Amino acid sequence: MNALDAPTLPIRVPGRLDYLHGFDLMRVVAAVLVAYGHIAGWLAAYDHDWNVRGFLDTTVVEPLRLNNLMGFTGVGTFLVISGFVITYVATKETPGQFLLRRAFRLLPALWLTVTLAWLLYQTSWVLHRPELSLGDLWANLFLVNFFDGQWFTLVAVAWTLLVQFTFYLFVAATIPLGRRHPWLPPALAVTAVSVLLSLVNTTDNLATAQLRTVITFLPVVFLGQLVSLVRSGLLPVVLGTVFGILQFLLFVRAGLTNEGIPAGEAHARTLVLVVVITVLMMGARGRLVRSSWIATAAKRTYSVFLTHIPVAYTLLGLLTPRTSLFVALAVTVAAVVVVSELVYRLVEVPVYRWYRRRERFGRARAAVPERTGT
Amino acid sequence: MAMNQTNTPTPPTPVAPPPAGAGVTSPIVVVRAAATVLVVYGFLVGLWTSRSGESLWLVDTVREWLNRPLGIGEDFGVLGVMLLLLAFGYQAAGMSAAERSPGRLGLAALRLYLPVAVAVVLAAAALLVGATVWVAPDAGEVSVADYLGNLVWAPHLVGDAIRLVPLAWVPLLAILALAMAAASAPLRAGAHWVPLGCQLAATGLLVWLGLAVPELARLGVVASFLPLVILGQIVWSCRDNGMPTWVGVLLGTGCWAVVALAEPAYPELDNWWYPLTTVFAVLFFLVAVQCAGPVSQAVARSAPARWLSSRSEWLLVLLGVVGFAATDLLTAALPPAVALPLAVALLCGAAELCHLVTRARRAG
Repeated sequence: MNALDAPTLPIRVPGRLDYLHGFDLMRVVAAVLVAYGHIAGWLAAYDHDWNVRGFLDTTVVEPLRLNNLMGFTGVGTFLVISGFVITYVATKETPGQFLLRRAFRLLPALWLTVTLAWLLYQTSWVLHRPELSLGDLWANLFLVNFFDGQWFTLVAVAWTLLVQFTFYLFVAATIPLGRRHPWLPPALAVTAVSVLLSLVNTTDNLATAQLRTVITFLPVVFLGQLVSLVRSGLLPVVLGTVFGILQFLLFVRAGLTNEGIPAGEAHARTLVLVVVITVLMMGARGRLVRSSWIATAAKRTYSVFLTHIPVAYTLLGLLTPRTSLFVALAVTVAAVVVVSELVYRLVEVPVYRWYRRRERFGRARAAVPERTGT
Repeated sequence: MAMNQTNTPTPPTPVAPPPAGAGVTSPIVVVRAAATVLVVYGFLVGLWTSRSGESLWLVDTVREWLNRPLGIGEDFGVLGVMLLLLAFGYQAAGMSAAERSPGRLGLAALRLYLPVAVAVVLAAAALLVGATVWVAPDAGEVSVADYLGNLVWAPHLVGDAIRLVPLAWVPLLAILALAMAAASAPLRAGAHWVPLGCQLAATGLLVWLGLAVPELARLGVVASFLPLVILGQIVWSCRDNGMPTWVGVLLGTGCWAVVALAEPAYPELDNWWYPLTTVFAVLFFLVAVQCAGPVSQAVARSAPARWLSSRSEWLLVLLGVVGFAATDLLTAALPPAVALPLAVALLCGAAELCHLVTRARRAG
């Protein structure tokens, strides 16, 4: 999830430079929701009664008829914001530059998390799976595990990166088109999703099921793209609304034509809630959304997203038999914060900065005229 | 060489305010128009289809692709009602000092009451001649006391007598919105959250009263929609009156909590998913108000939007009388897919006629 794109990139709208602080708050809330869903799910699977879940189920999930454990609220938010931010940055980059920058942003942290998770599974701790081989590691590094059942999945949340990467490829391919005719990529996106939904609807094996999953969730990112294009004035409001309705209907169609994907009844309404809140949050400029701790936390959401499951499941497995649930959860949350901070500081930021320095250096070298020898 | 004119910054073209009536801003015109369409679609097209057991491709498709996935029931009818209530609250809160004078307030209340009275009389007349109209609960014997009671909203508040105009409680809440906003006005400049908080507390009390006293259950059900009126005022206060957003969020959460608590408590509300519909209504309303731009202004200036917005009170109450009676008569000779659009046209004609007559009388 490229949750770290926006904090370093101001969102420019015609005539003024405008940083969308509201998205920082949305990222933080989304990361908390994703982590909550997984932790609450783990506790329920091991018969731990957690009051927080009971409270949220009664006060939020049931009245709003959301998915169990608020599923898709967090991921949906990340995907919509990602579609928005990526569409903005793509307007200023060449296709190759765009893909390389995204790769250097997302892959190092993913690879580190996958490797750490693999090592964790090799130990005799809670997540002990001695049968895991180097093949599992390689498969997870390149997300092959999601298409081939013989490989174990080390970082379950990484499936959303498949949706992201598919979107990136689409964006890269349509950058030249979009510069001349901004309406054309969204029109192509609607067509492509519609055709792919018709073509891929078998879940006989993991590969087709995963492909169907990616296609199902593509409209979510495309909705973020449409909000971005309308916001930046590249797409008329009416046209953007029409494309948005079509993308939403494709998302509904995906659910109507497949029993298992997406899993849960509430995806469509959650998506509408997320998109409308995204539109409203574009104008948020209050003290809360501008606070430095929200900005700081927002920058770490990608590493929280990646690392929380291996860290939380290991610690909860170790601590819940030995101590109270409150202490186990407190230690787990603290550990997730520390690990994600380390991943952010030691991997995400340095690698990306190194790449951007190298990129600038390469440009500077290319700009120096060569000596002709005369 | 002539100066390059393209470098000279041009001032933005002034946009004329929409001619939709004094004091009515373009987002409110759009919201009221959209809400009216939803109400007519939900409570005439959708409800008639369900009650008659007919199957319409449009209704079935919309239900499968929109209503069920979104979780918005009653064919968007209640969403429309909620949007209207939000608009009422927003408009009432934004009344100027002149508009809050007793005379003007009385006139505004009369303007809201008149459609109810006309609809009750028409419903009574229609029942007397044996026509089919939408009443709740389904008609048994209707006495003179029932007719008179409906003229003063009695069956909407006390007991379980027949309601000849089932949506008549919406104008009642709109009149309440006027009263509440006028009463809150003295504190508008300094501590607007105080009267809004008092309104919320009173609403909670009414909802509780409806549960505690079985005869007042109807009052409790109607009161569970009052939070929408308060939410409209909160939006106005945050957006146009400088109330801090966090106060608005707190009060708004309180309003939503009343709706959420009322849902499982009242059998009549249970499983209609109104807390979810409330969230959608508030979010859509906020988008309409916050993101209003040239498109919104263009829509608000359009004749259909202005017409729907200004006739919404008439359409709301006449749909159960004129709409249902016309549909029932027309379907005897025509297929529903033809009869329903014709009935909607007749409803619009009736609303226009009533609007013209009452406007002429007011002008006279």
